[in-house]
Amino acid sequence: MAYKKLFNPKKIFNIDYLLVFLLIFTASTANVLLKRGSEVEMSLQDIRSIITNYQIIAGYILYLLPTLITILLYRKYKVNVVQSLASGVYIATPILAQITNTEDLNLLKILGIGIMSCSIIYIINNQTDEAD
Amino acid sequence: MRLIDIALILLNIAVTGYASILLKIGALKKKRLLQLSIIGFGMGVYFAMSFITLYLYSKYNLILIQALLALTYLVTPVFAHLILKERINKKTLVGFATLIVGIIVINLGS
Repeated sequence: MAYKKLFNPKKIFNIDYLLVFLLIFTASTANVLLKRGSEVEMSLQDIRSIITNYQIIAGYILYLLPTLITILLYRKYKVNVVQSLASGVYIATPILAQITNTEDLNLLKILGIGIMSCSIIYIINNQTDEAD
Repeated sequence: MRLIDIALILLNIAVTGYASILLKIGALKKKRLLQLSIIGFGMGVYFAMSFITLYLYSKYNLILIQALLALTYLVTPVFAHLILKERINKKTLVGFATLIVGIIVINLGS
């Protein structure tokens, strides 16, 4: 039964899953860009140093897309369901930070991300079962 | 971590969680003008909070800040329950508790 549920073609090819993937990817990319941008010498009091920082500008532009996708998903699903799916950002960001050499992962961080991933998967299963 | 930064993180979590509810309310409104106003306000709040996030990124690890901001994910369902009357069941609470353990472990590693 669980196999059938997991491989339900209606669920796999649902456009909303594509939107969630896009949301997670763009939001985590934006986070990494903002982090990289914030490392360049600048002062938060000096607005010019922010608006001339291309990584921060790109990060902010990319942030717009996940917000719009969230609004689209809110029209169909409960807040709890959308939030559960969107929380994948908190797992994708450290992985992307490691890939782009923005930050290093150590054993404890990997363990923490693993625990967070398990809890998010658990909540997603719980929430989507409820939504069904 | 300085006390003021912890306060900023808590403010960010609470306000972003509330902005999510505003976006949900706006998305469900039928009247176009009202819908755009609420969504616009919600997005404005998001934008304002992102400056706090940027400040925090400039001072701390990305992974640490992300793990702490994941608490938004615990606050939003509570707001959804209080404002939109959405249900939170026991399994979700167990998931939330595990999420907090994950955040603590990441904090220990940072």
